[in-house]
Amino acid sequence: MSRRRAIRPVDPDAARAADEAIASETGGRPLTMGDNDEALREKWMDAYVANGGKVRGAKAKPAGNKPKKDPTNPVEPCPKRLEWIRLVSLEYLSDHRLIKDEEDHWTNTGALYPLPHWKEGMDEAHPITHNMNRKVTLQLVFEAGPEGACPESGDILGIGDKGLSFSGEATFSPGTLSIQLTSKGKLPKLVTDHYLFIDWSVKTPPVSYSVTTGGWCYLTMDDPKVEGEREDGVTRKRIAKAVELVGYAGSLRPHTIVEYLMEMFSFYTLQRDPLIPTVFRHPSFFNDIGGAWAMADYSDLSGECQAIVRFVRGVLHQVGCPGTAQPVVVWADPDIRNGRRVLVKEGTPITLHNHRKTVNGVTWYVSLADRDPVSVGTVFKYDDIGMNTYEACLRFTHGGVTKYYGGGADTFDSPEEVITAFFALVWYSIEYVGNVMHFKIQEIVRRYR
Amino acid sequence: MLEPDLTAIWTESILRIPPTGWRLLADIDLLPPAVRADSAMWAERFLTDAANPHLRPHAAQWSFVLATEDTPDAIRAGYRADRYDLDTVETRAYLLVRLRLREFSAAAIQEAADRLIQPAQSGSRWRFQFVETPSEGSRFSTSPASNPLTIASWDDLVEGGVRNGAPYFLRFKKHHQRQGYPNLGAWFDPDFRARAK
Repeated sequence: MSRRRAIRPVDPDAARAADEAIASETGGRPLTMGDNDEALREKWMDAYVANGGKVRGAKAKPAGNKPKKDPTNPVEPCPKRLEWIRLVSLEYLSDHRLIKDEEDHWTNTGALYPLPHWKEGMDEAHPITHNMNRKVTLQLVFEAGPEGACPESGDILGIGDKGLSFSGEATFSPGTLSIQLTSKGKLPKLVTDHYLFIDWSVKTPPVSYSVTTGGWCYLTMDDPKVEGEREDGVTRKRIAKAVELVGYAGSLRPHTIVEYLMEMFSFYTLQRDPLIPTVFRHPSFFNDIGGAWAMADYSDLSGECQAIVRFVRGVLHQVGCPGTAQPVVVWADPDIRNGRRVLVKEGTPITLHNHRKTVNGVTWYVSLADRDPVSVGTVFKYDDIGMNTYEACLRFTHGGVTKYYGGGADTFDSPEEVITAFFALVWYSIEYVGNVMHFKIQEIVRRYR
Repeated sequence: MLEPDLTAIWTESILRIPPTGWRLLADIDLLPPAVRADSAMWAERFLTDAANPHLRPHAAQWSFVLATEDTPDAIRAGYRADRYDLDTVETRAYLLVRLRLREFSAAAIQEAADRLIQPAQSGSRWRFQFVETPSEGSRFSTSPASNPLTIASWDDLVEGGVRNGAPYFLRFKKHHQRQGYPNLGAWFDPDFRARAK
């Protein structure tokens, strides 16, 4: 019913014009106040106002008594509804963004996997590395349509395995929608290669959509360390090997991991093995094609102590193993407390190399003997005794505990234990007979076992 | 003698090997694999790429000799490298590079070293100290105060001299961790030795 009323006195000319405007529909009869004439009364009022008549109140709703629909009001029924929603991309935001796509060689080469990690049409997402035991944050990009459809609110749900899930709400309009989600639940607390699949579903009436995304996720203890060493740099080949080896260690305790890795090499060697391709420069592994990483393929043939240390440190860095790993040498010096004090230095410095003295016209040298020197005067051939200038180790510190892991040797709690890898600190002279170098023990400075 | 003069001992022992003592190898593959691997490893360290016979093994003439009481197990490679005709004689403990030079002035010897001998570090060069004009029997060194027994590592010293009219360079297979040098009569394995006799 119209809410308009003509202001009295009624304008007779405007009224006459209004009568004439609806005469073809009324046949000249007077309008009633019944419902049947409501539309005609509105037309009469429109004509009355159009011809200068004054009214008060608002125009009534259009004839038919049906309210007009507001397409911006989602609560209101919409004449054109969404027909489709699809996930077009997924990008992990909590990964390390370090892994390169080198899968064939040990070199630190390749390109970072492109973003987003997954796009519609891909069978598998690009691999990522991620800290273990952490929530996953990712960004989803959806598209919806058709054009002109009304927005619809809905729920997004992502279900992974081992309690990993994602949920959110969004309003989908024709076009693109980007949404960031963080998981409920965390990734497993393991160093491993983990296939990260997520079953996604979107429910927003009238659309129901689902898709599964999946890809490899290499779980690390912490952020990989990239400190400029030859063996640093995350590639798919390196991280896959690193998580495999650390997984075999069966522990997340850094010292246990280090011990396992060092025990891969039951000896060290200074001799090149013909079974290893020359390009790797065994036993030093000073090469430009991945450095010591090739030792993963030839662990039974080992390498120099420093190479073993570099390999182990490379693995530790890949998985972000906490703790500090440093190659050191351990030795004793007859001029420093007569060999009682055990010395430690990082790297491969000069130790006993320059020590010599002349006694009764004979040059004496000093070294750490790896077998029992027996007594003064005993003579050994070079191949029968190792005269060493130091013992090389990996010194690893974590949780306030420092241990020394010998390349091809045991695990020691202190430098004083390391030195017991040798029998004694000795002075000796050299005699050369024919093709053979002989060492004659001149003085046993200190015995260590 | 305060200490053995290994340079003299070793160069003289090589000269004691009669020319007929060397036995030609039809192919480098006939060397024991461990010997070939050892030789290749040290060639990388001692020689420039241009002088490394293992990079072009079929361009060199290879031979070997079994040890006697006072001569070592040794292999020899004769080839042309850069602009030089040379041969290398190698044992378990050292590599001797002998040049065929018409004239061996200090400058010519230094230039040959620059071209043939791998420097200790990239961009560096070995600088020989010549006490006298090189002549038959003279010796020179990159570090006269050092000798093979006192160096810490193989990249600390190159010695040289002139012997039998040929300038030579001598490099020592010295490991940083170990002292001394191995038995020169035990480079070839027993199987190879038995087949060679």
